[in-house]
Amino acid sequence: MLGLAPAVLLTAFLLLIPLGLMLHESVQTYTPGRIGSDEAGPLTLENFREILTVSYLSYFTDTFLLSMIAAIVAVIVCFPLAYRIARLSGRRARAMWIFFLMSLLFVSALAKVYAISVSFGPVGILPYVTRAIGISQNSLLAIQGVVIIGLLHYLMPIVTLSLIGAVQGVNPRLLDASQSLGASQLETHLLITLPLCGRALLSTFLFATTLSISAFVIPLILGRGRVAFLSNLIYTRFGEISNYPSGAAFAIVLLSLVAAALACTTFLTRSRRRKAAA
Amino acid sequence: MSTVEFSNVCKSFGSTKAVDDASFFFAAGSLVSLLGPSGCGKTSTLRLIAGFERVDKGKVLIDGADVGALMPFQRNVGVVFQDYALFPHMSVAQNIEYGLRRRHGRLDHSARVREMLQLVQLEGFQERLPSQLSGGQQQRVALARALAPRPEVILLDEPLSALDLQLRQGLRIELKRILAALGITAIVVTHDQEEALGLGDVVVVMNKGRIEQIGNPADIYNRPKTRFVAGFVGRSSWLSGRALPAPGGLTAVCLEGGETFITHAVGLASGAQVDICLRPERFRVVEPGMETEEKPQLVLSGRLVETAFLGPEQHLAIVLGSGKVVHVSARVTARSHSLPVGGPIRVGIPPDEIIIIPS
Amino acid sequence: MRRAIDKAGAVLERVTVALVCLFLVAPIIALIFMSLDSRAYLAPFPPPSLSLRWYAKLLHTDLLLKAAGNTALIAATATATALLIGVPAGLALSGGHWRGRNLLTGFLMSPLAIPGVVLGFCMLLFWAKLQFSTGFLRLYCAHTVLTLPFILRAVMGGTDGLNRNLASAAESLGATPTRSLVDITLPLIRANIVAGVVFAIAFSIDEIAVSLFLTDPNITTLPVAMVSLMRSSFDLSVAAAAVALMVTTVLALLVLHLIFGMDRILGRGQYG
Repeated sequence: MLGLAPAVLLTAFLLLIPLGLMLHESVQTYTPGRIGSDEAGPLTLENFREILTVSYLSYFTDTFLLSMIAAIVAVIVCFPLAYRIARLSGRRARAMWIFFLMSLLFVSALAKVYAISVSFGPVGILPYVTRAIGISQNSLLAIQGVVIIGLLHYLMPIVTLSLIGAVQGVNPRLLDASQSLGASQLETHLLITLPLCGRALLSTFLFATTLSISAFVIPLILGRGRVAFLSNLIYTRFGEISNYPSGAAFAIVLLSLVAAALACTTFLTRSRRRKAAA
Repeated sequence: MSTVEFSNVCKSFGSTKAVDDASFFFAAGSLVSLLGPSGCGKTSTLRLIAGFERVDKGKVLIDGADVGALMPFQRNVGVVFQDYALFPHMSVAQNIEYGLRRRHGRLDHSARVREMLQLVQLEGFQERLPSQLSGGQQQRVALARALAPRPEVILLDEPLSALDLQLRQGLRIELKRILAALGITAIVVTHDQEEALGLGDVVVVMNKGRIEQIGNPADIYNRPKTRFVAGFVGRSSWLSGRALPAPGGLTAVCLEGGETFITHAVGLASGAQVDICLRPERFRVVEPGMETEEKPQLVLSGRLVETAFLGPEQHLAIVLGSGKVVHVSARVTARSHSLPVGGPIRVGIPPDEIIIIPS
Repeated sequence: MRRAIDKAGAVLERVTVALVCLFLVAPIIALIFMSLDSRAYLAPFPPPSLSLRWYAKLLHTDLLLKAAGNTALIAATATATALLIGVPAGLALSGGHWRGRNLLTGFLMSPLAIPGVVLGFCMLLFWAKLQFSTGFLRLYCAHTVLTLPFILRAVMGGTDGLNRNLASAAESLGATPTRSLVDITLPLIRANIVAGVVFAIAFSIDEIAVSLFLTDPNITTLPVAMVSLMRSSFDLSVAAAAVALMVTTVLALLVLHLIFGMDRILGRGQYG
């Protein structure tokens, strides 16, 4: 018990107090030209009201739409890979795959973003693709596409790793049983594996969405200033116009959204475990 | 070698009473089996002696001294765990040496380690890791490790349950040999009645946290004091009856089907309801024309509903007139083998081998 | 008919797996080629010829070199601190079930779940209120809180898979609880702790969203410096720096993998 004290104290001091300060900051009055809030000013909900105005809508749509698209695609395309790895019999082959995915997961996110930028961006294949479709490589659609690709590259290793866990939870005997009862491989897959992994797929999707709505570097670099997430907006509030109260209000909104998504994920994983235990 | 004593020990986990007012005294050097179904409190009893749990009430005494306040490492009690709990990163020799170093300092313990390896017949295995041993070998290492520091008492939690049947019987004999040779006080927890009766000089039967009976194996089997003990140890059929006074200070028991027998059992109040426990192997099939046996017996007649041939013996299920079923294992003879299913049958049992338990 | 569908399904599966792998690896290979570009500016892929000019330039870019030094120092000190306070905390959290245990675990793990920008922003407000701090102190504190969850998770994951009777066995053989921790528990979860440290360092040397708020003109970290270069110039020494960062991480992971086996650290699941 005593061992917990330093960790709890440190986290409380460096996390809880700052979060409290941020909450306080978000209801302060902003005076243009000042760095930080006006301590003497009245408390206000103006910063939150401002968030609801139409001018910020694009940040929300960009953040959520692109994140969800990336998360859905990641779950769909990673499932076959996860399935294949989970069912590998050779220890060595499996270890190689896990190492490969872990390396991709932990390899510098910045390096990966830059890799996407040079391979899929204006100096990469983007001009060829946009020419083929007949849109400008500087159009919003093209930039959004590149951001989604960046998110996908970021999400796929972790989504695959988490799906491997889900597939491992399905008893392979069930699949043998299904095929011995006359079902084809495809039917077995659709009728047994997918339903048994259903909750895991959903919770992985939610988890991936949460990860990408918190993304910062990916839209910062790949968005080229045209596509920006909430996190980029918060940074701009701080870095470029020093409107701390507004930044704090946006941060609280982002934090609440992420917390809600995580709560759903936790709920799904918990009930899955309870079901497995029953 | 020490005595182990519980005096009115209680231990609860939340709302469940794991050990409920248990008292016992085991003499130094005794080999005790702690028997009961899972959840009866036998493992909790073990953990209380080892010091992994603290008593809520009552006293635990080892060699007459109250050890209630002592931590496990301050008690000199060896433990063999059900899953052996061998240290996977240490060799066999290092495992055995661990307790010696902790209890007696960093001296040269190689002689004692060799001695222990010899005792459990694992010479030449000292450099192996636990993962390179078979289940039976791991079990022996666990025993050697627990015995090495010369504990006052050794506790064994289901020591043979993780092994397969054939190995289990061989190791049971070996375990008994080793423990008897050392003369150490040993307490073995088991849910297997055969193991309990075969291993222990003293058998303690527990149920729902309470001690049902303490006695030697023959007592537990032949003279169970409660319905639970009679039912848990050995196979049995149950009838009910009423005790009546009989001439000569004896007691007569009248069964529900009207049969009566005279017993030497004492302490049965006249008119009291009693449960009758009948061991299947104590029956004999009464063949026609052989009614007049040398000894008086209780004869039950009924209809044979099922037979199963088990090699040296034969299992018979008999429905009595009252509708109760009695199970009999009879020696296979030329005649019994041809008993017709569905036909009438008579079986007899000597009154002294009938277990009577006041209900 | 069924067999034809199964066959088509199998082919589709193979194609998907191959495309996923290609998508994951190709950009990184492209980046490595671009970092070896002999042209003096960022120009379309592929480079006509290869050279080490950007790596040479990297070694002469003081900003990036100093930033790399800071990053290494911060990662080392923060991870060491997290290790020091995280191992006891993880052991305490894995000792049985008590009220509030899950809540406390969630609290200590939360820095990983909170968006980096939010974390950075509120820490900035905190240090501004304190009105005394240095850039290094701010970054060191932030990285300690951020790497702590990796250590905690490693310790808890390790003890989770550990037979509880092992510690009991040691105690019944005369070891004090501390002794049993040193002799039994810690050696058996060593692989997990080392993995936790490697993951923590990998995370720390790449962290950007939080650090961006806490740097000042005197101190910056490598990722922060790289982002500003990426946005301001078309200089490929950033690519060289990114490759260097990547190689460092992969090497650390490779050593870890060769010693302990990554799949063993992650576990196989009950039907593995």
